[in-house]
Amino acid sequence: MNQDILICLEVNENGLHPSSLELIGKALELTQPCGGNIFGVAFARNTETLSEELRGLPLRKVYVCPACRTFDAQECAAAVVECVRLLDPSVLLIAGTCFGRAMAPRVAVACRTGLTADCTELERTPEGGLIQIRPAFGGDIMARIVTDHTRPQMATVRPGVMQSCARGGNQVPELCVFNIETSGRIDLLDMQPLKLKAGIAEQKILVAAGRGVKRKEDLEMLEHLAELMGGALACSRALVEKGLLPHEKQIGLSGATVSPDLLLTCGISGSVQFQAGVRRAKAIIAINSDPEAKIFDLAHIPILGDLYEIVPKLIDRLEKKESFD
Amino acid sequence: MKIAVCMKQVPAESRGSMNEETGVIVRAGLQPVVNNYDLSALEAALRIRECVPAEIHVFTMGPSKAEEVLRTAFSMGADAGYLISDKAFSGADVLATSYTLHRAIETAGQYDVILCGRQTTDGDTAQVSGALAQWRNLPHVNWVSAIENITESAVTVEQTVEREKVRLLLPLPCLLSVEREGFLPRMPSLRLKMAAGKKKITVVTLKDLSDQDASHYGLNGSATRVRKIYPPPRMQHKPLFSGSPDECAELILRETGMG
Repeated sequence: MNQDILICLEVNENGLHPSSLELIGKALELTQPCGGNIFGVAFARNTETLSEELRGLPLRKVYVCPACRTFDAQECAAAVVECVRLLDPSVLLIAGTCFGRAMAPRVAVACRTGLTADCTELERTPEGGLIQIRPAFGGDIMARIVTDHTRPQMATVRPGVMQSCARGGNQVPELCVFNIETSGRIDLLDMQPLKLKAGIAEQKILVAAGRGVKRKEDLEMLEHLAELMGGALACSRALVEKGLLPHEKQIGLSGATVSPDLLLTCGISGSVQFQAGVRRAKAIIAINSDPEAKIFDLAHIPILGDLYEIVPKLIDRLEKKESFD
Repeated sequence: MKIAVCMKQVPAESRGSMNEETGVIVRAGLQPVVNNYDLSALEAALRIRECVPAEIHVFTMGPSKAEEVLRTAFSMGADAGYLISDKAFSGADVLATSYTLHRAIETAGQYDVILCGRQTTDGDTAQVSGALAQWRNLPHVNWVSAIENITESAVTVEQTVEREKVRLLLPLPCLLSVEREGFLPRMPSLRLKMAAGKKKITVVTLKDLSDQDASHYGLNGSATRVRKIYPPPRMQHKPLFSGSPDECAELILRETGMG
C-alpha cells in the first residue's frame, strides 16, 4: 500500500515559506515507521527560482501549477485534488496559514476525507496511520484523532509548531509543471502590503494578559507596564474571545507564535493552546495565583502571587527609576 | 437578495475539564451562548440588508436548546430561523457537519450569499466555512474584514491576511467568512426581542433532507475519529517563588536587569 506524503508548499516573493520547511521536516519523521516518499505541490510562477529554493530538500518530486492564483481557494484546491488523484498519497499536509486554512477544507470535501486542523503533534503507525494530535475543548485536553477509512489523511499545522527540515546535499528535486482547467471566479482588484506596526511576533519584550485580568480597564495597567519595560502588550485567547483585545494581540495556536527575549505572563493559566505559541520565548516569567497553573511548567521564573498586587509595585518601581534617570 | 447565516451554540467559556480517572468531559456549569464570531456574520448580513433589499435566514445545527441562537438572531433582526436538529446529526466532524449544513440550506432554497464567522470558540478550527463552500460549489473568501460593495450579481470584499490587505471581486452566489474586527455586532433591539419569542422556527430533521441516508451524517458520516482524549502531560517545574508583592517585583526587576 502507498505510504507517500504530499505537502502543499507555499512560495512567495521571499521564497519558500518557513512553514513548508517545517512540514517537510515532520514528513521526513513520518516516513520512518512505514516508509514512503515525500511529494510537493507548489503554486509558483517562476519554476527556476523554485528549484533553487528546493535544493537539498528530501522531496521525490514537486508538482508546480503556475496558473493557480493563490487568493482563489477553489482554484488551488482543484489543483491539489488533481495531485491527489495522480499520487494517491496516504497523507496530505498543509500549513495553517491563511492560504492553507482557506484551501484545506475544500480539498478534504472534494476527496471525501477527514481533516484535522492545527495539529500540535503528528505521529505515524507502522501501518501508515496518521495520529493527529491537537488540543480540544479550549486547550485543557489533548485529543488523538485518526482517519481510519479514507485517504489521504489530512492535517494542517500552524507555522512555528514543528522543527524545520535541514537541507542536505546538492540535489534539486524533479519539478513537474502541470496546468488544470481553472474555473477561477474571483478577481483580484488590488493588494496592499500591511503596514506591520511591529506585531507581537516581532517584539523583544512582551507582557501578556490572561483570564486572570478581570476588567478592560485593568488592561491599561498592563499596557503601561509593557511600555515602561520597553515592550508591548499581548494576551491569551480568553481575552480575545471576550472581545477585550483584538485578535492580532493573541498569542497561541490560533493566534501568533512569538519569540521574545522576555515574556512576562500575568494571570495566564498556560493551556496547550497558549503554550504552542511561546516555545521560542527565551525567558518566561509567569505570575499566577494558582499553584497548579500549567504556565509554571514552562516558566523560567514561576511566581505564585496576585498580579493585582505585584504589577502596581512593578510599575511603581519602574516609574521611580524613570524619573530618577 | 437572500442571505443565509450559519451560527452555532457553544459553551460560554472555551474551557472544559476532564475527569482524569474516567476520561469524561466535565461541562457542568458552562452556559451555552451564541458563538461570538457568528454574531459578526449576522452583523455583516444586517449591514448588507441596509444597502440592498434582502431577506436574512439563520441556520443553526444542534440540540433543541440551540433554538436560543435563533431567538438571539431574531432580536438582532434576522427574518427566519432554521434549527437543524436530529439525533442522526450528532458527533459530526468537519466533513459531516458541512455536509449537513449543505443539505439543510438546500431545503430552504437558493441563497445569494452565505455568511459564516471566522471560527467557533469550542472547535476552534475555522474549517467548516470552506468545506461548506466546496459542497455547494461556491467561490469563497475567508478573513473578510470589510464588504465594500454589493450588487445583484457581485460583491467586493476586503480580505486581511498575514502580510497584506487585498480587495477581491466575487460573483454571487458566494460564501464569505468574516472577521469580528470589521463587523462588531449590534445590540439586540428591545422591540425585536419582544417579537422574537413568537417567531416561527423551522426544524430541519433527517427526513427533510434530499439525502436521507443516515450513514452520511453525524458520527457515521465523519471521516475522523477521536481515538483518545487525555490531559496534556505535565512537566516538573522550578520551585515557585512566593514572596511579598514587593519581593516579587524586586525579583522580576533583578532577573530582567531592569532594577
